[in-house]
Amino acid sequence: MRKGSSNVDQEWTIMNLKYKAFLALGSLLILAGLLMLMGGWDGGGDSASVLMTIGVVIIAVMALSLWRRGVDIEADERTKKIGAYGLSYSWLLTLVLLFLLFWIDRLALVALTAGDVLLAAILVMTISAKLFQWHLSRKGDVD
Amino acid sequence: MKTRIKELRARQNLTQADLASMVGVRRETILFLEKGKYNPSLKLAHKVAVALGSTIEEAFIFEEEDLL
Repeated sequence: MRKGSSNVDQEWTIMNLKYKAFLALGSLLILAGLLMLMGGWDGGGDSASVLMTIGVVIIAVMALSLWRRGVDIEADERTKKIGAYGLSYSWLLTLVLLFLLFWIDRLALVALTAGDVLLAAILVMTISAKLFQWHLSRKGDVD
Repeated sequence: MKTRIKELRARQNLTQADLASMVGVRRETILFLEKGKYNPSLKLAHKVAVALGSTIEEAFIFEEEDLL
């Protein structure tokens, strides 16, 4: 047995638990959607198909993540640090955006609704966090 | 920062994946450590040095500008 393999074994156990949990959640959502369709409890809406789509997406994302990572461990101190810094930079960028949107609204340059601002914040936070993390990951470190 | 990880790893006949597995990090982290692009924690530096049968001072070479 290789030295330090217990660390990897422990990491794999945690990962397996996580994947099992996501697989169960995805399957549960698909099953719930199917039951709603078969039982006629959908009420003519899209709830059943939305549930099934979310279930399929969860399973697909999990499978893709497992395929991309292979046998490598999920996270270590470098990836955790990069993840945290990416989120911090994204938070700062979103703060700047909200500051700008505040003044755009205050000066009545553009008519903004609460929905517009929320959507902008959600999009900027998620996309910029991923972009910052990708950039730092390519660079190797946060410094 | 410069490192002698690649040289010490070759001496031990270990691949990057082997060393990564031994110290509990991703293979890319070993790659960036070897290139001197990642500044590790003291804990990881110690783990890497021990895995390579070396010391932190031997494996990691800090230059004056790194310490500023």
